[in-house]
Amino acid sequence: MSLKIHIVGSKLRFLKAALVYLAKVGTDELTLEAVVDKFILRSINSSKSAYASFSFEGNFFDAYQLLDTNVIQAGVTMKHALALFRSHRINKMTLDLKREDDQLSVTVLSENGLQKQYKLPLMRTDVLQAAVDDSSFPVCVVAAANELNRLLSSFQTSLDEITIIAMPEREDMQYGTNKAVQIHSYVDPGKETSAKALRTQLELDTQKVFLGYNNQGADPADVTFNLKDFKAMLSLCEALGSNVELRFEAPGNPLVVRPHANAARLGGQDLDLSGLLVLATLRSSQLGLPSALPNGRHARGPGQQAQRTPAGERTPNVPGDTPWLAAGTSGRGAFNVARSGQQQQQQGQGQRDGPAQRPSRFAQERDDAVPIPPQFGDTPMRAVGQDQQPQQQQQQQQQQQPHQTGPPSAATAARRPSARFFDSETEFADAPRTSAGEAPADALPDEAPLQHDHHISELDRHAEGQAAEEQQEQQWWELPQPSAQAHAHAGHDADAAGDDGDEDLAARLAEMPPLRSRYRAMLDDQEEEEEDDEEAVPGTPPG
Amino acid sequence: MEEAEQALIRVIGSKGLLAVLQAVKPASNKQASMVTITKDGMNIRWEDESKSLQSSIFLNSEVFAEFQVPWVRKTFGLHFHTFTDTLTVFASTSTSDLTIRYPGPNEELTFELVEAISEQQLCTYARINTLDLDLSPEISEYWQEPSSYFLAPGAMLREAIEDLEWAACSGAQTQGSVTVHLKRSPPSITLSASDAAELSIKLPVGDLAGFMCTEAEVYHKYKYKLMRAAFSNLPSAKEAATQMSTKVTVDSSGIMKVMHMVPLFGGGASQGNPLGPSGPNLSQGFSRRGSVHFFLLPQDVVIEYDGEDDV
Repeated sequence: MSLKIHIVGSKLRFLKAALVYLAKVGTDELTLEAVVDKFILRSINSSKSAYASFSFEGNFFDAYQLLDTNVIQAGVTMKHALALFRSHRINKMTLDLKREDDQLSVTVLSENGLQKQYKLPLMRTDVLQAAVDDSSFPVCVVAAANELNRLLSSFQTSLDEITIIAMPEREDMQYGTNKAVQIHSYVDPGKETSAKALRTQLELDTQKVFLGYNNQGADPADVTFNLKDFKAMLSLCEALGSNVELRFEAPGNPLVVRPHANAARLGGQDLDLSGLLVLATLRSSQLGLPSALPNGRHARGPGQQAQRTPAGERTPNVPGDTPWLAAGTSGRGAFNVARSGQQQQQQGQGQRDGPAQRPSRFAQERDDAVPIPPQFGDTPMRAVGQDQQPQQQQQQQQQQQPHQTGPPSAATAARRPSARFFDSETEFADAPRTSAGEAPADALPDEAPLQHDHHISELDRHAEGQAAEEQQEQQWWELPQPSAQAHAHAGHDADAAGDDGDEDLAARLAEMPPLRSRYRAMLDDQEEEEEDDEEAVPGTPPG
Repeated sequence: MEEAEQALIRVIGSKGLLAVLQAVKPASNKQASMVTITKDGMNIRWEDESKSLQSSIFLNSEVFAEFQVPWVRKTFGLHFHTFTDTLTVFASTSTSDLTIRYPGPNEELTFELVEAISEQQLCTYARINTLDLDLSPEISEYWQEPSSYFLAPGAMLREAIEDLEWAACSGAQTQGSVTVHLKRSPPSITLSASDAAELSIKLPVGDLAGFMCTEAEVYHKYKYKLMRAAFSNLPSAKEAATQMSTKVTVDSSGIMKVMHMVPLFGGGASQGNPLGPSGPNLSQGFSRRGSVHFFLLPQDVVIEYDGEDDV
């Protein structure tokens, strides 16, 4: 079994563009598949959340021969594949793949006359294919690649993910300005720096910005996906001189991107090339709408992966790039990928089945079962989508279990000293200390600790009460020291001033809330001791 | 020391000299080089730590604006990087002529650049300590005829050696080797590496300026690190690269001699410059060339430098 491909002249730049595109998406492996009339290159990223492929029709090459077989599949290291195009000026390239030799021989002839022969070792690899039927996706956007690049340059260079929102056409008419598409920067709320992250939003006039826009769905649709992989396709389209076509349906469903219509032209003639990029998207909608996934679809377990075609076997009734559908799914395409890390552990425990989830390449999606820790700040903490659905959020919080946390950090206390987060085990920081075994008079009733999911407003009210108590405490300490005053009254002017001072003091003490009853008790004790001292005969030890 | 016993060398702009020195830039910052000044010119030589690579630059007296040497021959040691760093300072400040004198106070190498600014003179001055250095005998002393050679553009050989890095080295390791294979009939020149991967590069013998293979086949292996030092540090400027020719000679024992003819561009105008006005000029550039030599030992050859050969 052997494959021989010969390519000359300016067509080589398309092969180079394809390799560069595939290397940007999948950095490790490049899979090759040669069938009778097509040559397909594929790559997939390590987290299996992005799938890239590029196909050449057989007549694209100056010579294309598949001998003694109908299909050949092989894999090479991406680094080796890129080494073929290290020199810039290449005149001719010949690829010769023989299964029995277990290597790919590539002969390159440079402009300066150097003849280079590379021998790339083949790897055992599984040929993965994405099962996506995007023909029924309601949203279709066609745009110039350089125009999209220009729009994306408005976003922060360090941005990982973006969200595209597409409004239905009938709603679009209500706006009157055709600004039916928005692009938002997506910041993972779980990240520590999310509060300070720069957020960017673009509203696009579809008629002015895009070459074509179509949303046949009844509801707005949004998808959140990785930006770096998306830009790889934009670079490919620019290299090919073609436009970009995006198709998507709903959050959680894959986003399909490809060069639009005629992928490339050379010398006024259309070239038979096609590229495909399938990106996994975030499951949750940024619009707060439920994910529009068909019922009955189940998430795949951690060990399940997209069905693989064993190397060397021909996928039946599949012309080239049309894949089979992954096991367990049906209908409109499921980009089922293998999960890794924590998600795998959680799903391995069989927590739940549900629609396909976002793969682990993206930041970990917050599990609703895990209570969200409260955050101190000037604005109440809000989970993703909470603003849009306050009632739903409250219901969720009521159902959530109380979450116990430790005492607030020093930084938090410094920022908002009056706000305290506590549980039944945490003592009040400035509360009067009681003797062992005696509960403070101002202690809360012996009930379940405060629900962690109380709104900050609840904590604010408690904090205000605490502040009032502190103020009263401060006022109490501004009074003359009861022991000193009582001593002065008792020791010097016991008759003249003692009655009046005692009456005032007693009145004040009576006005004090029960919180200060402990101090009242201390005062009473001190007064009794002083009275005992007075009754004692000088020189005679008391008691 | 009296000025009459000083060698005086005047350089028309130090950028060209600096570019040539960069071609033999050693890897180590502490690399010492041996400088020899004779009536014929200036020779700068250094050797690799492994003693398998020796490099030298010979600058003919004619490439300088002025070259006065009152004695026959003097040799001194110099830290190579200190020398190039000093030249970099002078090259970046002005295009006026640079005057080098030796020996200066305390046997130092002195540099002086005088330029006129608004009817006043600004003088920049530097001194470098010299060293007492003992280098190994030159590998060329062990040269054995007959030898085979070929002439090729320096840029072509540079591209070939840089492409071979992919096959010779895995990751950050540069311990791979390159095989040089010359064949008399049919005439062919092949450079190949097969450590991390396999790559062989054939040179277009028919397009080369010269080729001679004295034996039926010449086949030797050299460390990739040494080949890279000999071919890849040459001036990368487009004009310099296109006008640079390289002669590769291999003797019967496998010692490889690589000689680059490097054009010296970047000179500034100077009164009394016998070579004419400033700026790169093909005819003048051709006459202002430096020769850069490398001697490489093959992997299967060991030379004991205590006077005994062991080939």
